[in-house]
Amino acid sequence: MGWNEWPLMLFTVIAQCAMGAFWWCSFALLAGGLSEDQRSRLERGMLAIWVMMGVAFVFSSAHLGSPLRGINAILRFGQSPLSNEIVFGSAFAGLGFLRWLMVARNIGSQQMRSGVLFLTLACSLGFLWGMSTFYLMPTVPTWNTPLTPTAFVLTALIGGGAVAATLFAFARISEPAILATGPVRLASAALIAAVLVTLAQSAALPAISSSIKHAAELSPDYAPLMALRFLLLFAALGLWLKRSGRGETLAVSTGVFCVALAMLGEMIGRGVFYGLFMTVGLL
Amino acid sequence: MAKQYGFYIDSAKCTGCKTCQLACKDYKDLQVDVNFRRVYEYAGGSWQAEGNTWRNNVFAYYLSIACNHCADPACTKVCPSGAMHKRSEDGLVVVNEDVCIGCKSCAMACPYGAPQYDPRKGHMTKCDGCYERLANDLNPVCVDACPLRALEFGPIDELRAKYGALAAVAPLPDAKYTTPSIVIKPNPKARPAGDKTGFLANPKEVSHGVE
Repeated sequence: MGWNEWPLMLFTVIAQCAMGAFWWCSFALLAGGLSEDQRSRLERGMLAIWVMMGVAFVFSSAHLGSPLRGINAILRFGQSPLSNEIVFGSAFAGLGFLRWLMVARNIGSQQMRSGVLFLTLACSLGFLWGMSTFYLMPTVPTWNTPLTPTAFVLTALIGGGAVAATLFAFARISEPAILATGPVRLASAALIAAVLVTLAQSAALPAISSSIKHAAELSPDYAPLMALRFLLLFAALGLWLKRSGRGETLAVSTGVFCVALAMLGEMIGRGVFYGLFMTVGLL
Repeated sequence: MAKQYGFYIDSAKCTGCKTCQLACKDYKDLQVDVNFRRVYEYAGGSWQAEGNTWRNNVFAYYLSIACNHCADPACTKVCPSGAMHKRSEDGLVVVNEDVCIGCKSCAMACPYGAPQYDPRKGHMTKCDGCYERLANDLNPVCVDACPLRALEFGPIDELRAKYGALAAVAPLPDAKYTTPSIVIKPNPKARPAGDKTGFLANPKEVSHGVE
């Protein structure tokens, strides 16, 4: 387990970034105050979120031994965390894309579109809940900790925030301040929290062991990989702050570059996470 | 209570010969890195100087483990398709290979390494307690193959009445996690579950796809 779980590494990080971006975009649409032009550009740009979800699902199916039977994964909806994750994740992506089509083709009333927006938001939370509970297996002590769902939310706020800021730049949104600088502020706070989560995890690992596995020995490159991860994340944030912190507008190209750095950093962190797999017993 | 079958594992008798593992592999036609039954060798201890002589407290013993057909299985809980299920008639935990999508969640959750991914088939496979042999009043093939008669199979309440209730010694996890349907007769040198003084002496022999 570890880097050979690359499909899940890509899936979880991309999906969480899509979620975080969607939260910010929904906030921008619901809070009002956007001009007609800004609103329509943002709505159009949100296609990027649904493309990300599509790509994420392609990677997730690469994890399956029999992807053609993938639909069986929803059979235990309500009972198995993975079924919940897949049902809510598909509903999130499906409804989000449906709403994008409604807006692009001018179908449905404004109320109907708001209704779909709220439903999509609810599904994004269900998706996050399913994804988090999947990893909280009582028999996997390195994953079964509140640090796991916390890390997922922080990825959404950091990477997803960068995606949102790029979409806001595309939509030429420079005010109000909550939209212009909100994502970068929240991502900065999330990055500090991510440092704390990593410190807490590295302090907890030596205490986790079975008769034959020692968590601290599972990822011998823990420190250099985390250092590389934070180097990339701080580089992304530094660039992003430099462009948007002083009231300058973020260029879309700079935003895309920040997104790439942040997602790469989070993928390295997720690779370490999968590398820490062990059970309370023989694996 | 519904019927629950289980294994009796005599770790005092077991010599680690792996006939059980090979008989299973042959009968189930498994490829090299899939082993429905695995023999774990747990070893440790040290030598201490005592004047001009050395005294040892070293230990090494074997545990032959397949699927424990747990009363509270971790694998079935995480299965998204229901392919991994517990049979109501005999308590055996079996994977329906026509439904399984090969997501490997069960292999992550099981602390005994029972569900194993078969890359040739594209889905999970595991010990099914040889239920088709049971229907013909035969033992699982591993049990009949053991030259030491260190394995038995039967209703777990009968095995417990005969041999006691011990279901965990190192390196097995505490029985509280999944309530395994096994009874172990410990080796005289056996260490309790949770012991940290030993190590797995044969990791390559028992490794499979998930790690």
